[in-house]
Amino acid sequence: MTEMNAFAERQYPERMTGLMHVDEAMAGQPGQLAEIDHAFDVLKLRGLYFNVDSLSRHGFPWPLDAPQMEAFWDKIARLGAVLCIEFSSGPSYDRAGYMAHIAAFGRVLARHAGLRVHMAMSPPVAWFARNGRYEFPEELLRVYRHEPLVLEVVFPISYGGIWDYPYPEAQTLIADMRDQLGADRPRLGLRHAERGTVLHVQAVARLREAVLPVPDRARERSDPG
Amino acid sequence: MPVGMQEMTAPPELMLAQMMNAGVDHCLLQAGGGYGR
Repeated sequence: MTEMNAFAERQYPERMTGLMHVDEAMAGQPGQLAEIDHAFDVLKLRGLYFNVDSLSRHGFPWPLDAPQMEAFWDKIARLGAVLCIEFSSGPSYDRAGYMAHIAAFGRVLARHAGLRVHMAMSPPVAWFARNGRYEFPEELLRVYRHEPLVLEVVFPISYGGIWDYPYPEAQTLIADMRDQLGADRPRLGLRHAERGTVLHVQAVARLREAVLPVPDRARERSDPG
Repeated sequence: MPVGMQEMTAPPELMLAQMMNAGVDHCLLQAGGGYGR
């Protein structure tokens, strides 16, 4: 995937930004660190996609802030690469599981204050939304307030079966996210249709007009963090 | 299987076409173990 993404970015640098990938649980091991060096130095990629749920490939062997991971965080921070991280609630798949990863990541951010973070997917609705508002635990808010960090606005496609188009419930929550975190922190996301386009294009247009300001496209292109 | 996945190839131009349809100027190309090496 890393090579393919670099191949696509090289052809269309104005339209595509490729992200590199590592075997997440093993990211601190020499072989994976060498892959990051290759992606950064040779392929010229400047971001990395890290899916916390992929720790399951190794049975969630250690938390994000474990000593086995430290060389990875240190490398990403030193390179200035953007970390695009998608959280998981595994292996227990409940609120406590999600917050355990958030707490560990908070400790990583405390050690690497300059880490550039793009948090993929919106905060889980089932655990943090009540009556049209998000109620974030302080530990989660501390992560969201990390600087530099942007928060992707994307809801799981399964909510298409719960809410009706054009998803006023999502619009209310996005507005609340804006009010709690600031208008420049949430970034509208739109995932590839075959993976699950969560917000219909017209709903995105409506959000841009009514809920979130029109993004600074030049900045969005050059620096997601 | 979605129609667009009948051919298991995804050249950059396919993404460009989908971006044009969705009105997207610039995209991030995600990576992950689930998509192959």
